[in-house]
Amino acid sequence: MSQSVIEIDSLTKYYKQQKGIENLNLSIYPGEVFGFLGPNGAGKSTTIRLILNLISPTAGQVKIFGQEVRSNYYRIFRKIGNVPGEFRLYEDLTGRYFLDYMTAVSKTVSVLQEELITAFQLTAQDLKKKIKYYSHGMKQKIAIIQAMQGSPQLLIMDEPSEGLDPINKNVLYQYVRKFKMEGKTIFFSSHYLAEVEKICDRVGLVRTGTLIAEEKISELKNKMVRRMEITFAEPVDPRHLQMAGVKVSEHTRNHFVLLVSGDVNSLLKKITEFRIANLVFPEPTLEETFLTYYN
Amino acid sequence: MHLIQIPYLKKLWHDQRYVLLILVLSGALFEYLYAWVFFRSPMSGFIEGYFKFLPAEITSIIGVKAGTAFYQTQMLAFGYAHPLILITLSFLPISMPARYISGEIESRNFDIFFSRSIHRAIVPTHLFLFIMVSTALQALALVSGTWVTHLQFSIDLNIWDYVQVALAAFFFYLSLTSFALTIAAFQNERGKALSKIIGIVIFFYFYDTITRLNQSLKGFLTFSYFRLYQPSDIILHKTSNFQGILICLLLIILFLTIAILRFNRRDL
Repeated sequence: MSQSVIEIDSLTKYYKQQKGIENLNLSIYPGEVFGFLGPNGAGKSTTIRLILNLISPTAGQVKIFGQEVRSNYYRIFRKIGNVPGEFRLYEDLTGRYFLDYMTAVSKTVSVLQEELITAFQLTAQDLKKKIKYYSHGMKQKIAIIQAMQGSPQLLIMDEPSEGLDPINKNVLYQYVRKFKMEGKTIFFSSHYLAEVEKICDRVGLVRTGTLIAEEKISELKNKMVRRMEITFAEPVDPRHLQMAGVKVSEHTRNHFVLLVSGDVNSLLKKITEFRIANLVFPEPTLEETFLTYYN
Repeated sequence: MHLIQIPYLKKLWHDQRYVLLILVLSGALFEYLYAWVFFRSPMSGFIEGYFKFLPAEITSIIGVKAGTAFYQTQMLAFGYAHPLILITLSFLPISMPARYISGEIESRNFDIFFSRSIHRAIVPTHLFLFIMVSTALQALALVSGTWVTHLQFSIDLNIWDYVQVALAAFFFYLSLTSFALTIAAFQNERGKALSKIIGIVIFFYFYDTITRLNQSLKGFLTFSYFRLYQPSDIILHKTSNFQGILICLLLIILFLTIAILRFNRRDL
């Protein structure tokens, strides 16, 4: 495997007595979209702030492009774009001034600025307004554009889709895929499993400051137990639904709650032999995913 | 690494340009009106008479003795230490470190800013640079105000003395800037940083006033911070301006170094 873009070694951060993140080891490779998944307060933002040298670790270290971050951050960060999870833009600047300012301070060239402005449907009029008059969604778009406009080699995004409408979420995902196609690396933190499934190659699951699993998305999908609720139009014998990867959790004569793991194709074939009145197969929640790993 | 971040200085200018303009103009205007009111206005005789009746303690604080040959010089010198002038000169040295260090830590502006290839030392050093230029402009404005009164009202003065006072003000307020930068580098909230800086400056001010008022405390005057900026002593050549500037320079080096080191290492 090629040299990792981000190398996290035994990273630990305590805020006085309170654990932020503990003994985190992680390698993220070139051209990879790495999903960092966890509920709020799990330690995702702490990890990102440690990667970006905004806070210092209690123990361990982070290397980016092979260089230790603490002492080389101002050299490394030329190749990085960052969308923080919690941020405030300079409210008295206009959107355009802010984007140009971020380019100027980092001495980069905004090769993608205009393209991103168009893609995220910001108008020239919007960019002339002061940021304090922007909605939350517009501020989020500006934060994403400032991170991507220099076409950085490494993109670090902390819950970047927060506040975006579905259309702009898709624009974001398209650009993440585009960056990946160009061999760039993306560290994508989220608490939405569906979002991570959609765009990431690999995922790290973090909870209460500890990395509990690191999987390829395909493996994660296979391991995940999902809940399926079926109401048949007629009574069905539960034995018909017994097969590998399917557990009947509860049932009446025509209503079944199944716990399904792995490939669902054979189950779908089986249930379509009967007349279905209703079928509910929701996205698993983050809690359900974590329970899979705890179990 | 780029040692000078012109875009950052430009942004500071963009944020502060109107405030700076007001401070510079009000400083010049104050010195001009001050000289006019005290020496050429219809009230000037009344004011001098009023000063004759002030208690000795008060006149010793403001450094003015009416009815003497030095009255005019002392009065003009007091114009450079008037509370309004002290406030305008200390406005940027106090407010900017609190806003651009503690305030930006509090609001998380730095989460985007410092994920760029920017050395942490850029913030304290560039704030210092900006305030240095601003203070120089303000000091120049004060002397200009006095110079115009000299030309317009033929008030007899040696402008070089006032240049020396402006120079002392420049270094004194730069030492205050570096001190404020140090406090801001230790604080996470703008309000706390502001209150601590203002609190300490007010303490120093009253320390100076009380030690001047009370004869038994005169010995403590040696340790007064505001002793480093005494316009009337400079104009009347009671003290060496060079010594005060040298102490201010040492304070600048000390506190600026602490501020840079602390800001480089702290969690944002």
